[in-house]
Amino acid sequence: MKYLLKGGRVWSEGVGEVRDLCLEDGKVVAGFTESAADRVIDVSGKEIFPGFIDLHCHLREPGFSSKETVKTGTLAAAKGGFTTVLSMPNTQPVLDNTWEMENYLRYLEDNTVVRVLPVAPLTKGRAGKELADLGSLAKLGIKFASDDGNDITNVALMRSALAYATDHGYTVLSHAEELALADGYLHAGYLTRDQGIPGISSSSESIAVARNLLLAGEVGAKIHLCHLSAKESVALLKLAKELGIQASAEVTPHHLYFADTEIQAFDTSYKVNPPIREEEDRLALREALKAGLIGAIATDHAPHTEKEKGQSLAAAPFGISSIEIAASVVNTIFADPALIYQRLSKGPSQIIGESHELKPGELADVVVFDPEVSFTVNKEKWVSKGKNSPYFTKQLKGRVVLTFRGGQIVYEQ
Amino acid sequence: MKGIHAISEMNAGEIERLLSLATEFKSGKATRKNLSGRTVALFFSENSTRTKLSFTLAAQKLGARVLDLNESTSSVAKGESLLDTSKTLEAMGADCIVIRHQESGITRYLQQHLQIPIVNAGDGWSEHPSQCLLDLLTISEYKKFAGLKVVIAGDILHSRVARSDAEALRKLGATVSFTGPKTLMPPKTEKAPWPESLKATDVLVLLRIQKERQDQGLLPSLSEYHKLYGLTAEYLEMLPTDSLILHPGPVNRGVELADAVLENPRCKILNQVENGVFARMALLYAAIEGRNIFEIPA
Repeated sequence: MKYLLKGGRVWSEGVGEVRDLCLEDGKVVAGFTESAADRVIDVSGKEIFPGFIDLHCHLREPGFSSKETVKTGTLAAAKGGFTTVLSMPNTQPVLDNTWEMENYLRYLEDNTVVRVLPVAPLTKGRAGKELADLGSLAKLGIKFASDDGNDITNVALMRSALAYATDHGYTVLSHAEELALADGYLHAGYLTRDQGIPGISSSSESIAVARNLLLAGEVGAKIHLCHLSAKESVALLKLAKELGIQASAEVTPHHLYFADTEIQAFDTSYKVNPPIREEEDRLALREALKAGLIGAIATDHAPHTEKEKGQSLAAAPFGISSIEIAASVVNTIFADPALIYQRLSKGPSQIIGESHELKPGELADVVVFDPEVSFTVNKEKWVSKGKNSPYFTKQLKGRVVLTFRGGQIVYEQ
Repeated sequence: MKGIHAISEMNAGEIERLLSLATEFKSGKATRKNLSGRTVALFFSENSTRTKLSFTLAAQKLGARVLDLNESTSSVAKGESLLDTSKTLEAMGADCIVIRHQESGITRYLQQHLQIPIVNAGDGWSEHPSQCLLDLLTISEYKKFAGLKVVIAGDILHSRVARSDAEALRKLGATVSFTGPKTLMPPKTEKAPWPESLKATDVLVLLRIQKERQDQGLLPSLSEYHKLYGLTAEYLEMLPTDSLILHPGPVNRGVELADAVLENPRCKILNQVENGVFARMALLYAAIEGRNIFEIPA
């Protein structure tokens, strides 16, 4: 198929310019005449980005297909403009050996809509006891490793995991959390003070951020900090970069969009880990994102069933489902297409070490974004199986209208 | 919103209405207000002798039947969820369920799934409306709320009494400050100086210290707590002579307060216990016949 996208602003190699974009046989090509195109699409007034890359997403398979499947999760990703997603390893079973991982890679081939890059666990069963078969898994093409929500408690094992992972070319994704300080449901602040709810302090994140950064620096590992939520973590990231530690970081749309004073204490759709923190944290995250200290926006898309989220605050699981509207949330906050390009396409591609431009010869992973349209987030139109979103009924500005994955349309509004 | 769940969901007018209803019951003028033929179910999943007895007496005085569901012998012990148990009680024809539970916000959660009102008899660290109302009733017998200086001392972090009392008293025009060890203060909480602030205190609310706080590393010992944060005989002398001392009970003698405090006329702990029955009559009556009293806003 030959597609001609006419009149949009095309973002590539650091700049956006209004021009036509031609896609042929799955690749971006230099150009062809309008009559040669199989389909000409008028995208004037729209922003055209290299497909978004989500560094943090939970597709739930194997083990939790009632929450999400590879199919529904990647359909939601395509709707959100994501053409590559990193799937986190908190599955059942945990894919900690080559046999399980090979099965999963085959399963992906038949079921996924966008490119999925599985994240290996650092330890067997994510149990924090023994290293997973990271060397063998690397031979299958796995490049990222993380114990996700189970940050390794044993500090010596964490250092060892970072060192071993580095030997095999991994970037370690760090969900930094000191569990002894995280025995609660919401950010330890005004809301937990006033409502009498056990809180999760900012130090539960920042202490573990400091620890993991220092260990990575010591063994020369590449470390990527997941879903930063606290201003202290941002300051520590800055310091680590000054010290020459190979560190990168992401922030989620919900930590950029919400502050704890704006949320309902007992509404479980806001229950997320790390928790939504204070206005000052939100400001620090926004500033770090704009300045490029935080290089990527990642969704931490965490679908759950309505039954699970319909429990009481203590019983309901942590997590927000948001992959299909992430770019809309970002545009609503910043109204800045350059920032969307930098933090949803370019930044994450640099973190995973790939070239990702809209120039001839590159893969035709393309997203067309209408920055002007306003809409109300509608649960009825939600694609993900996880209906646990605090954005329902919120008014957002800007949305993805078309997504190509390898030259094929995977979402069209 | 049905039921009685949280002082934070009420406005000053509603709190005053409940208070005057409790006063009416105490004076014996509210004889026509009864719950004859009604059934009140009690479900207490945390130990509580006095609150449970007090609710039982309150329901009986109003002429209601009382169903007491004991957690250790109920189906909840067999794995039935609290929500299913509550629905079962509703299906049996209970008109109201009084619930004590360790999870903050649990009655507000259950109420979303139930038609009959729930009365919160204490949920986690969050709220304790009936203790609050009996504290208000006790204070109102001696003091006006406007401009009243109240100090709440002790384990503020884990205290639903502190939250409900502070919420209500502030809405009624009092000034409330907290004091206690830093380890037992919630985040973002300013501490009143202890014992210096006692000199200008109209009402001192002492909170019960749980022995487990020592095991959790939050306190070195109960004896040190008494010396540094408790109301000792010496500190008692710093309180104005017309001040009031309250405590939700049960009291740990020699921890929150010295024996001598209990003998002091400023100490109103037994008045609180007495008023508890009338406060709970008011809450049960308002919860069940609420439409005739006031509408609690959503």
